[in-house]
Amino acid sequence: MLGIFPQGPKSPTCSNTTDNMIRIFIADDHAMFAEGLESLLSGEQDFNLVGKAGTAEETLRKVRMSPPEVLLLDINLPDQSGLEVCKQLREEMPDLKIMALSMFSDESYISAMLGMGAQGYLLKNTGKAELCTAIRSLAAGKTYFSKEVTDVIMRGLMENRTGANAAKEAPKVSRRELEVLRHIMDEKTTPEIAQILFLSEKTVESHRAALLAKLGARNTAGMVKTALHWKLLD
Amino acid sequence: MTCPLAPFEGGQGEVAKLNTVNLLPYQSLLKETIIGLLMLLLFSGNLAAQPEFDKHLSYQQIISILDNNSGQTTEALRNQALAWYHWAYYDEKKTGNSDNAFLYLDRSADRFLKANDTSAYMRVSSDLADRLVERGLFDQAFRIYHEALAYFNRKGSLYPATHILTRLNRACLSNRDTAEARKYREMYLENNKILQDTAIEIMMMEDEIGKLQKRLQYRGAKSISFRALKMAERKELDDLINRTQFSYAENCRLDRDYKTALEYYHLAEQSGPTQFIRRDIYHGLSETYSAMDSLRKANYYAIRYAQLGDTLLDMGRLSSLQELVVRYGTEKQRKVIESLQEKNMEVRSTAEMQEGWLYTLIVALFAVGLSFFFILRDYRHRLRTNKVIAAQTAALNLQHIRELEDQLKIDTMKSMLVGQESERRRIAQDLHDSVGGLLAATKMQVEKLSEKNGGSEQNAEWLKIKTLIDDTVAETRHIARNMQPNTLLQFGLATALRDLTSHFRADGMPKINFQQFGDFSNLDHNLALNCYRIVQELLQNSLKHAKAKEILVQITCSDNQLELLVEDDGIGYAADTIKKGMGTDNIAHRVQFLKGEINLQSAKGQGASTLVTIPLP
Repeated sequence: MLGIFPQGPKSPTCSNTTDNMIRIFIADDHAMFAEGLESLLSGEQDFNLVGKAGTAEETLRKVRMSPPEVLLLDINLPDQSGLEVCKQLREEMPDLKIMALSMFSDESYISAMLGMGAQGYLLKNTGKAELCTAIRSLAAGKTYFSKEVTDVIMRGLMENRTGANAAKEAPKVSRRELEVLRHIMDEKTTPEIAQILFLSEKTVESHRAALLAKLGARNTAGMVKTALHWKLLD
Repeated sequence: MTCPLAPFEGGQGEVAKLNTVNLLPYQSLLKETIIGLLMLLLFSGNLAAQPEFDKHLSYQQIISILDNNSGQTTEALRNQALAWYHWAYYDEKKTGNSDNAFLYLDRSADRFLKANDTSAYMRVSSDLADRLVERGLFDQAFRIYHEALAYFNRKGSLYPATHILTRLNRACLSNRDTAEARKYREMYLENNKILQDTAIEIMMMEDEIGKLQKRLQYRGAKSISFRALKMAERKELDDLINRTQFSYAENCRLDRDYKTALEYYHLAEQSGPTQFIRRDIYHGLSETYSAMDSLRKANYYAIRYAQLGDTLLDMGRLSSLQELVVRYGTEKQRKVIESLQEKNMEVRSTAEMQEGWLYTLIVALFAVGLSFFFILRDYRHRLRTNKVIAAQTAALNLQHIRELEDQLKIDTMKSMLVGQESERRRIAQDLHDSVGGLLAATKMQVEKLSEKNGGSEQNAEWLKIKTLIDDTVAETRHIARNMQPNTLLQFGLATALRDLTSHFRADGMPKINFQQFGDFSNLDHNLALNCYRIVQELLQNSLKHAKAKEILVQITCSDNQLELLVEDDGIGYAADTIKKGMGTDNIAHRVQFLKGEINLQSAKGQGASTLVTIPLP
């Protein structure tokens, strides 16, 4: 009786796939690149290329219909960001491994992609050997990142660490802030400082706010105390 | 069978709210009523559990139901759903606006769904979807239909699923998507082979009748509605008999078979119609008698129609009544009124003309006097102040010219900057999408080739080619980033600048410290882009010329201004030695364009500090 109602997609039956092959899906809008990737991967015995797509919409549709093990996902899809695709698919299919492929090596892209649940991030100039290793790592449940990507992540972490260790070294205060600080310690008021430094009162106020934040102080007294501690005015 | 739940009749004074607010054209009104009834017939097995859709609830009652049923039990959910349902119609009636009503109906359907009340869910959701269709909001309507359909399919409930299919068919027809409509029609016809349900069959006939009426094939419509009537009579479905009688009468009237029409209108009138149908019967009777030139009777039914309309609160009745009054008002009266009006006009216009002359004369005299006065005064005044005025005018003109020049400059700058940015965007896009992709593809082909030649990873020449390609890719990426910062669009100014500074983090480079204060998430994209460019140029200047060890990049966003600070501890420069290079020019232009200020501080050997302040709108 139910046969007469509209049906959802049928679950896929992959009779031609043996269990030990890694099923791979390529999502990239650059046809030439996708083809190159395809021909590069087709030489491998344990890879089975199950499909490819050039838009986010197509990717979502095809991957949902027949989920691969590893999805090679371009961040720069024409209709929707790869970030969004990654997020959606990870929510729907927790078992799917997603490898971001990108021309971008910006930290923000990398951390955003990791935040969306991608297990790997490769730059598009990655060689074949690395690509294959990366895919196999992902299929085995591990993560994989290009060296350049790892460097970017490490640099970001290092910077954060210096941020966390800020108490051990003097806070970085700009020259203008320093001048404002000097006048504050001379008990000058905001309008007076503004007049002396040829700045607007608003700007002086914002310098003062930045100083409070950088020196981790709640009021002028705390600010002066910290400044003296670090000998900022010497 | 007498239906124990003649739903639209519930409480004579409190006519079903569902219908009182429907300001539909007459034809679809009829359809709605019939469908509403059929729908309930379909569920007659479930009658005991039917929520009280048609009971009148006051605003206080609705609120108190919502207050007292906050839980998630089936009973509470059903009460909530009912309250939202009533609130929808209450709100719509009160405000004349359906937007909230849609929202509330959606909530109501949702609660019924959660309460697993299939029939109520179907009623509310299809009601909502139907109304969306009326408003032309097909996408939303289809979404609701499909949700409901999926639900019923899951539950294996064939009746409601079929019902939804008929609705979908109708909606597709309204949306002029005949192919889809045919699909759904085939589906429900198929379903009805199993159901063999008279109500649905009659509904299908109604569809057919509607179609024929549209094509003005009234004879065909008449014969089908006669078949529907006979079918209803065979099954002894009282309400269906009443409605099919009415429908048959309507079609007879349209086919100009007035005698039969009158007979069936009167039959329908006597077989206990709802107020709703009764009103339509009066309308039909009035039309029929009017067509038969029995104006007195036509007038009688028109008035009864209008009186019923009063209780039904239908807005359409007013215009209909006026129309009827004009049509049946006596010729004599109209002529008397017309002649009186003509006379009136004549008298009035003569009076107006005489009065007009007098006023014109007075005004003319006054104007002549006034202009003499002004000419004399002006002449004397001008003699005395001629010089002052000339000087002032010159000054004003000069200022005006300056303003115009400034504006022109800003406009030119704006178009230049905008043009530059769009060109950059295009080039960056091309570099990324096309050159970048091609290079990556090239590298793959090279790899494949090298593999064919014996996997000579160590071969120096192959390696060199690959390195060259890698360098080209890196360079392309670098140029593209300079052209158009992708992260700016995606993540905003602060992140984009953080990325920018992080790209210069390497051995032998100055240490760049990036700091941000405030919230940058709501900046206008153009403003953010210009700020990005300003910082980019300033940073590049420091990197290129300053020989600095450390650079501080700091951005601060407060309520009304944005500060960009780039400071280095390099060699500095004397203020008058700044080269008028492309970079500083560009910065100055952008800052001027953003109506901001630049504050430079530097001296030989003491580093440089540039602060740009930009007011926020």
